[in-house]
Amino acid sequence: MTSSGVDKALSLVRNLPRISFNNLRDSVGKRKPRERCRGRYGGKTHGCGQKGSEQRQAYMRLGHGGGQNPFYMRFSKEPYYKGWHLQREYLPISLHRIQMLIDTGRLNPEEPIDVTQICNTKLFKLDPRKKQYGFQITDEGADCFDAKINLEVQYAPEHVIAAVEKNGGIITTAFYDAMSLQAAVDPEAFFNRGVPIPKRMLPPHDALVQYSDPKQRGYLADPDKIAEERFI
Amino acid sequence: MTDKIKTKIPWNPYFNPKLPLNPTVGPSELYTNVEEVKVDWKNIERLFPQQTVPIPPVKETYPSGWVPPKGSSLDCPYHVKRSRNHMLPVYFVNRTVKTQRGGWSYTQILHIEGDIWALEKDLKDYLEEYHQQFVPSQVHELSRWIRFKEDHVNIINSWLIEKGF
Repeated sequence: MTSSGVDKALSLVRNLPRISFNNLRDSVGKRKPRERCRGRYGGKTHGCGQKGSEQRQAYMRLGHGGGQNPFYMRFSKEPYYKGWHLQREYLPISLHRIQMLIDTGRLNPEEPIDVTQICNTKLFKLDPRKKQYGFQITDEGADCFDAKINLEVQYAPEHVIAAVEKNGGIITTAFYDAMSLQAAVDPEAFFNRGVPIPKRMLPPHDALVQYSDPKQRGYLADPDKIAEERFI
Repeated sequence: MTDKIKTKIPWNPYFNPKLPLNPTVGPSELYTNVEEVKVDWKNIERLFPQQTVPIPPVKETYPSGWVPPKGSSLDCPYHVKRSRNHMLPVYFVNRTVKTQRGGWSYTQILHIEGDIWALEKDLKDYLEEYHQQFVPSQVHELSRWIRFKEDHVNIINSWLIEKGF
């Protein structure tokens, strides 16, 4: 029986041992030892060329381009991190999670639920030093939400406001600046420092609009307008 | 070589309980009278967290869908204990491995007591019947956990609640 190349290949696959580092090696000539600059043909300039900045080892920097406008300077740069230090992060908490915490007794619905109470459950890590400015409530679990609470967070969308007020609760969005947030997140550590309670600063310009908006139940908004919005 | 352990002794009496808080220096006639004001500390005490996880209150139904553990039957050779936060110890772990092998994800069940192999068999049969597919599993007898490949968290949660864990 004549065996074709395919049969031979298949028999190899069947009979040869499993490939591992023990039975692999580079093909001949792949790795050549480095040739040292010695002797008649390696000597004299030793691979450095003739005179000039190259032999004198006075190389130009990478990308220089010989004096013309270098490639990396011909185009404008992309402002990837512009305003990054001003960006605020609000940690998300779902309504379902809040309901779960109330059910299991971690949060008391009779007391106002704000940043301090949420952090006191020790289930959320809020670090003001990482430009985290508070919590935002997501609307996951808005259908099953069934608790009358006084909630104060830093941002809440329309659905969440509707869900909370449907059950007769109150929701406000309030701003805490970094120093007062540091005190609010861990009051025990703050009192141990013995520092006077800092005055809560007003929000920055880009957030003033949000916190003065009665539709978002901002704490700076007119209470009459908020009452009107609740009625709607 | 001896390691020198540096211990900072707080000099401030507010931090060092061994130092007197208000040390009297000089004759007592020079000191003015002190009047203790009665303050209601309730508003400040409510800012402090609880030291232990509270026991969940007993209700008929919980709107969030949380189910407390009712006792499982005594015939059951295994038991799955709740976590310290009264939740079922079923977790989905999604590991992204930054090589050509890609990531791997699994569902892990912790705090298993009793016959761990019996639990693994029951769960595996249930999952394979549910998915009509082979489900790889791993049992760690020493650490008392079981892993199933891919995400079965909700299925396993409902199965455990049915059993009463």
